[in-house]
Amino acid sequence: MDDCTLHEELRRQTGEALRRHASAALWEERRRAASPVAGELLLMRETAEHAIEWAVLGSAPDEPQRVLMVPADTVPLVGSADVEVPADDAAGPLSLRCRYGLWRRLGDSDLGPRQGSVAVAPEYVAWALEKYRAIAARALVGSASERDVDTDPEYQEWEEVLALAQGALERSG
Amino acid sequence: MSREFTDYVRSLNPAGDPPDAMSFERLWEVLRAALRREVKRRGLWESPPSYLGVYGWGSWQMPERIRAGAERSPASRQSDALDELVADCYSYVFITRLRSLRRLAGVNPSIDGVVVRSIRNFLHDTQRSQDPLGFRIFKVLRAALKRLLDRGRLHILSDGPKIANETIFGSRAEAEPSSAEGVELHEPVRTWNDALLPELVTARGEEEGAVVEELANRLAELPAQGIGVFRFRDLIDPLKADVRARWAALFEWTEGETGLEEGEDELVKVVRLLQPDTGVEDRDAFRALAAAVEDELERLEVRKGTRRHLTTLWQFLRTFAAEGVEDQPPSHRKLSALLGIPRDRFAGLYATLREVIERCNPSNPARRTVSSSRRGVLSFGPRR
Repeated sequence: MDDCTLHEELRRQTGEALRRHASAALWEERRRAASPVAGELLLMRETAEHAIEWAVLGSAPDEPQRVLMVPADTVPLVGSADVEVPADDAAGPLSLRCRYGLWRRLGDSDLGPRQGSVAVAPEYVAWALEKYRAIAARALVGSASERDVDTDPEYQEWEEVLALAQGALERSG
Repeated sequence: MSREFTDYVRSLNPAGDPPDAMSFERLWEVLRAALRREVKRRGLWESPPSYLGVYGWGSWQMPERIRAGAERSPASRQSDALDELVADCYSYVFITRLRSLRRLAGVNPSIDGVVVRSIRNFLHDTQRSQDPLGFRIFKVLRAALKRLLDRGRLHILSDGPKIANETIFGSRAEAEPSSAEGVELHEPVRTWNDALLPELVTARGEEEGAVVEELANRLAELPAQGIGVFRFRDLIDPLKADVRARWAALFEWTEGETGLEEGEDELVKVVRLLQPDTGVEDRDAFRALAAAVEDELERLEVRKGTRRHLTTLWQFLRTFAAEGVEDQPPSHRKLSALLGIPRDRFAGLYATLREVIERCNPSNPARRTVSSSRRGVLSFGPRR
């Protein structure tokens, strides 16, 4: 493929990605309820600068605005405490960081920038929930390849950012 | 603050029109420059482009006269190795991760920092799969240095806390950074490798932790040898070069070695299953295959010693395949000496590995059993 054709192809693929995201987001707009639903990706003002979204895993039965959420980012390193959402999912590729999950009562300002949001598929939400519970119960067992990522210094540096983001939300919530 | 990436993402029409040619070409040049900086920062500029999955080029440098002509007339410009990497990187950052980027661009004044981080992720990810040997050494060495920093045995004398190619370390915080100039580490590194190989490359899990500690101990001894200040690049380059030289030596036939022992051609068959392909999607599939094989080996019902041999051999073969192996395999004698695996075990180990690799192969329907154990998330399709 020569330069011209390659550049044209990349431009075409960019347009295609834009259309794909627009249609997924529109679908989400239609089904969106007043309260966030499981799988929805929220963008919190306090952590947007770190390039982190938050995936809602569920809400308190008696208080729908109180949600359990975990950081979701596009860093491809997936360790023991993470769930990988592949590129073929409407929200992917994403990594859900279950070790840094938290409960938060969402205020109106939290729900402001929902435009353009899509939802992570239920199977990944369920798996993330399972990992979150395993971490809480100190029963998390990662696979060999995940444990290898756990010790990658690049991954550990990213974990420091995730801890900062979690702390920022905990302080403001 | 630079906003070239931010402006590009914001200029994209959400209705789905492709970006106009002029803004795309401008973005291309900015991305190319950023990528060149990052490749240099990781110390890969002098390495063959194949270490980042770009094949068919001897180096990243385009002959000056061609490049100069290209700059005078963009229409007549010839692409080079870096352009191939830019294309992969563009796809990784601005197509596959576009949803997240556009969303972040809606709330942040600038996302240029986010894009730079994404470029770093792209390179890290690519090196991890395309240059496993270089990546392992980078990973273990960084972990060892970090351990010494945490213990106060080592200090960073240059700017910034992140360990990169130009980072200067000193055993004393008040040491003079300029003392790193001309420091020669080839000799100590060669001595270390006598003891650290093959675990430096093949160890995982707890065994990897032990190698990190061993390497940290060696690094801590440098001041006693008169080396109190050194640059990261001057340490990692000879370390990698020495390991690659030892790997290459495995193919050299020594006197008396005239042919293959029974079963030695099995290594070639296994390695052929592991040769990484060149396309981005194929590379993603290869990385997923590698992870699946590692996980499958852990689950395999075999004795502890056999599992250790299988894991060591697997890690060796992955590195070996990525280094561009010829059809001539190293002898079992040499492999046995390097990996500490008894010669008579190789035939059985190869057979098991072949079976595991084929089971994890995306084109094999039996792979489903592996996928389902990871809740179907082990995708062999495009991941980026």
